[in-house]
Amino acid sequence: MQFALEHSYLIPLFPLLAAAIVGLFGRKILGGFSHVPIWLGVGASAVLSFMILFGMVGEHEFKPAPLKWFSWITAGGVGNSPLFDVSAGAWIDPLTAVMLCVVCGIGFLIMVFAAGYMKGEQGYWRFFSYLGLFIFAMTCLVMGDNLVMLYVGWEGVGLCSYLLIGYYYDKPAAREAAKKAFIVNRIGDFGFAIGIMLVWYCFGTVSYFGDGNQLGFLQKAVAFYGGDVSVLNPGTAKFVYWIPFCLMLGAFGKSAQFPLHVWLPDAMEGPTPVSALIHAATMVTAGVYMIVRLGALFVGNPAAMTTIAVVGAFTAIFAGSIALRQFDLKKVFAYSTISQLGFMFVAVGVLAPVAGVFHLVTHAFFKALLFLSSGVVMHAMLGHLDLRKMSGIKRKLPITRILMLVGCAALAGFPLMSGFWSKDEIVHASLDRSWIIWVVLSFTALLTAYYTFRVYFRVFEGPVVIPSRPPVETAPDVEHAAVQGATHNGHSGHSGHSGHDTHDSHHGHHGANEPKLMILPLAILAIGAIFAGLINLPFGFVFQKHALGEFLGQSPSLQLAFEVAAKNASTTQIETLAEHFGQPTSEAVGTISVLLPLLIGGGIAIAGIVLAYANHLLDRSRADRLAEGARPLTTVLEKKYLIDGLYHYLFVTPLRYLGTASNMFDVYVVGVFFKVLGFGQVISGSIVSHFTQRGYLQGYALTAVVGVALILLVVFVL
Amino acid sequence: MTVLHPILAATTESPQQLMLPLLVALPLLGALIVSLVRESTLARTIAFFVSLGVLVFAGLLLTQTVDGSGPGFHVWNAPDALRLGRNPATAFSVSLGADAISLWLVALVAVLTPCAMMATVSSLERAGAFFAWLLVLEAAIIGVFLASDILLFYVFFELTLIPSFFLIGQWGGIERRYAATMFFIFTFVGSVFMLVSILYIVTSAGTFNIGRCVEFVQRSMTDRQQFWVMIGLLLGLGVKTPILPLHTWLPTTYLQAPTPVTALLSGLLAKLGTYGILRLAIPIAVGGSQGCLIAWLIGLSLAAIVYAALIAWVQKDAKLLVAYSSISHLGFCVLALSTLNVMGGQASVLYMINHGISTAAVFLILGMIEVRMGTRSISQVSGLGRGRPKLAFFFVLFVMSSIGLPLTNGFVSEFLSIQSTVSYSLWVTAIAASGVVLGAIYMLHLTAKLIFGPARQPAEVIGTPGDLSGRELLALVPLATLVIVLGVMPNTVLNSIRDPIASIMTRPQPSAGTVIVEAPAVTSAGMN
Repeated sequence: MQFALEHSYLIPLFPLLAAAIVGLFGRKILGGFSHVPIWLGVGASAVLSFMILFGMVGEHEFKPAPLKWFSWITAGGVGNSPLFDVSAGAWIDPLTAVMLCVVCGIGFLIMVFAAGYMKGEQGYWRFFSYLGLFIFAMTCLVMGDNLVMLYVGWEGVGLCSYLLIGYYYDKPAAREAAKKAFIVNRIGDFGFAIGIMLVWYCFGTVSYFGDGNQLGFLQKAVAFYGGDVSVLNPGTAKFVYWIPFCLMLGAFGKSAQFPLHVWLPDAMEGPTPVSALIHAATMVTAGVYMIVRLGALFVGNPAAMTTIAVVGAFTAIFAGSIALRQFDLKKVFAYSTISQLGFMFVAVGVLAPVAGVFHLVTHAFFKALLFLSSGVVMHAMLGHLDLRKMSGIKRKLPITRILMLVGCAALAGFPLMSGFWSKDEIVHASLDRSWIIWVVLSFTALLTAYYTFRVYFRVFEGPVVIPSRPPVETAPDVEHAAVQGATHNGHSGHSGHSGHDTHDSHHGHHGANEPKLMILPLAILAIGAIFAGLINLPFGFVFQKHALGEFLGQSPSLQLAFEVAAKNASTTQIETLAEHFGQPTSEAVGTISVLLPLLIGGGIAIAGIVLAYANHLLDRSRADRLAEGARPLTTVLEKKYLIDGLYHYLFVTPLRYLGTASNMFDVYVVGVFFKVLGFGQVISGSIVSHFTQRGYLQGYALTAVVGVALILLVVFVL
Repeated sequence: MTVLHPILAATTESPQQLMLPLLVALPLLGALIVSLVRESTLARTIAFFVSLGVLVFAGLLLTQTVDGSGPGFHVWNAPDALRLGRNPATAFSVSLGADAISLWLVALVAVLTPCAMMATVSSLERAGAFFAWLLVLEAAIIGVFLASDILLFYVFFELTLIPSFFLIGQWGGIERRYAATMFFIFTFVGSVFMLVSILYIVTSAGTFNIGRCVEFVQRSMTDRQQFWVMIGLLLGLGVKTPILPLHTWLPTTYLQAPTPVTALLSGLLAKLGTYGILRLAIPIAVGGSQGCLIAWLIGLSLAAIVYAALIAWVQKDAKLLVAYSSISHLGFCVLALSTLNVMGGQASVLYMINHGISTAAVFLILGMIEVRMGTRSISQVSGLGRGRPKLAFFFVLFVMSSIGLPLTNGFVSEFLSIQSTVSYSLWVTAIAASGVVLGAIYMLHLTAKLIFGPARQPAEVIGTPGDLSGRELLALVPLATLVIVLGVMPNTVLNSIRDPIASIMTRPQPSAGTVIVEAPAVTSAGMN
């Protein structure tokens, strides 16, 4: 471990170098082998990450220390500006280690899959180069020891997301989706950036835990919430309240929480491995990571925590309900991701960060599995993903069917699967804060089980329906089609059909529907989706009871946050709080209080699955009748609560009008005003015509010379 | 800490000091030679190597200043024979001075000029004259940054007009004559106001030295006098920058100028304005008496950031879009200066450098697109990325730099600019930060239209124009390198300009008696 810690910079560096190599040589030299450098780079980072993780688990008391790479931005510090000093450096503690293993480990598996999935694509090298760049940015994000590093990673993954969503850049839909993702995230980052500036303004530093000589802002926040105002810059106390709200805007953007969730469903325009890696397993969880990391700053502000919990719960049920009436596999899972992220936000909002991270880990496994399995389905179904167009494909894809079943069961929270344990912990923790949130989450859990198995029963079970032709674009883009015809210069593979990432099986592996290279990583993910729950069981089995919690509890982030939370808590609450923050507890929690919520959670999941079975396998027409019966509601759900249209009318169009109006104003008012004022009428009559007659230059030179002479004259007379 | 205005303090004679006049003389000399050359390639080659020579000298001076092995500032005075006036204190003598701020900006000029030359199309008519004027422009701009004498500053400032006028008026687009006239009249009328202010300062202070003029204004003028002096200066410098609403000339001019010239106009000429504000106007306000003007400056900068960004978004012409984006960006630059704190000053100078690099680069690459497609209309061209990975890469890189993505140069300066306003007012911070969102909106709109989307080109274009050529890469690769290097190592700039900025942003000590400053007179340093 010591090696990995000393050379922590290698973790982001390897993928970056790999990305650079592929970017430079991928097109001409590496070609179809472009995945090799990326595999090596990300694989090496994954090895280092696991070295760190296992090293920490082995060590009894791990004491993290800041690792400074280089001094990055230094400004102010003299005269009337306080110092702003940012180093590029790492802070590696259990939280970092867990995140790194998720990012690099699952990232590596997805890249193995992608090599099979993307085979024969024209932009193969480009794709892998972006992926390497993504892992670089994401590792920076989770490793950084200060807010600016977090921001660097944050925007870096945003860029990669932009590039990868727009991977099929000649498709207008992909292009618009990429732009939308970046801009919506930028709106979040607007808050994030102001939050960082306020942290610096109030606390005088952006470093989480300081560098040994100086305290970090999280430690100062603990002191401040404890009543010590002297840690702040004078006169800034009133701003501290707003910092969590600014920062959480960034988290809402990146983690696709309402009202900034609109970009994630559209992001499914990217190739499926991207959806799995970036838009399910890693990047979108960055918001959860941020709030856990900055716990001490957030926890001291009950209003902020309530906001997070409420937004999370609302997003969970909101997105979960939309998922009910989506017909596209990836869209269903996209809304499901938003909904599950809502669960994680509830977890951190109700002061149960361990549960949040636990769900983050299990979700990474099963959601990556679900997306990648959808990719296999899409491959085999000639690019189709519409669950109305296919049915009973388990005979064609027997292995995928099992993998998908595992993923669905885990997402639905089927008893003993990983999702069951982690989701239940969140639902249970929410009850400590508010029964309303508990009800909302429990109902969402029911919806989750229902929509997940709706997909499974529709696609894999029932009568066999297999599409024989690639999908035709539903809303053909006229200009697109015309241009494709005119300037189509031999690009094969994706020629602009299907509403999706346009990936079809025209190229590569015709015979094998389930190539080994793609199935192997899926199998590993499936094992994770089943067993990942073991790391944090509410009782001792294989690992200790709450092993993950105890491990994460060693992170100063959770310790400091607990310190703040404990100050406001009554003695009875402290035990539960300690458990939620992974801190040592004195007494064991009774068996009943462990078992009962698990039974309820399991019951809800099974109820959802049974309902799905009844409506989508036993008698499929029943689901349609149900939908027809509640037509207005169905329409609203199918239109995703009309949020996109609403934003368009509320923000985009008015802003666009404002732009047009400003443009007119600039040309016809400001411009004309100046022309009339000075240079149009008055002067053109005299000086300008004077100029034009003798040429501008002479006139100008004359005037300049006269000016200079005038100065000299005045000076010498003086 | 008593910090002298760097230009005030003289250093001992050293060979490096001769480099200062050389930086101005070399491109002028080169211009003379190039103007005689008829053959286009030869003209370009000579001009390119001359500007490379300037780059080498500027680089040498800069490295010594940055790594601390050389003096913090350089001064050079013309020999006595060129001195006008008997009294050494009031005499006018050509004197050049450079601290880290000047040297960084000179280096920017020295980098952008050869890049712009390389980006110029080979088929240019009267190439000799074109490249000669480019070199004259380079000399004039460097002169402004090096002038330590207010009269010289003014002369060089005006001198930039002549080459720009010819470059726009002769090699520009269809409405080039109109654009050149507009550019000329605006800048000229603006500088008349500046001239009045300068005249007033010089006659009152009885010296030409910029440092001492500023000291005089700070200490011996009443608030009312300071106010009017500052207004005059801001009118002149504000046209060049431009500060809203003095920007009317800019869209037409940028649009009509040949693209390499547009790159230099936005990358360098705009910096004359901000540099002048930093050197002349800001020190007046540092005393704290001009809070009202500063509030106006901040308001106008914020207005520029938002207003120009919105206008940029609805432009149909790619070049106009970037022209308006440039107005928006310079809003950040002036905003940071107006905070009157050291961080703002550092941010602003870094912004000048970074904006110079990325906006010039975007203009250059737009020029390369225009050469291929014969149009700049974003509705006629799309999908340029297909089959042109290099073009797409550089375009996206410069766009990211322009919208301030971390680890590109744009991020640090934009972030620090906004951050420096926190102590002024949070509302200012919030409005400025909204510019970051708007910037992403219009730049990604541009990228989506041009680079992404189905491949489309105007019907007149025959065949499929290829990817970037070697010559074009030669123009873009240095800029791309700087985008990354300055993004990862902004401290190279920030640390070296800290002390000069601090001395500008330090409130002057209340004057004790009539003695203004006890410093070795600059004008006498060159006597021995």
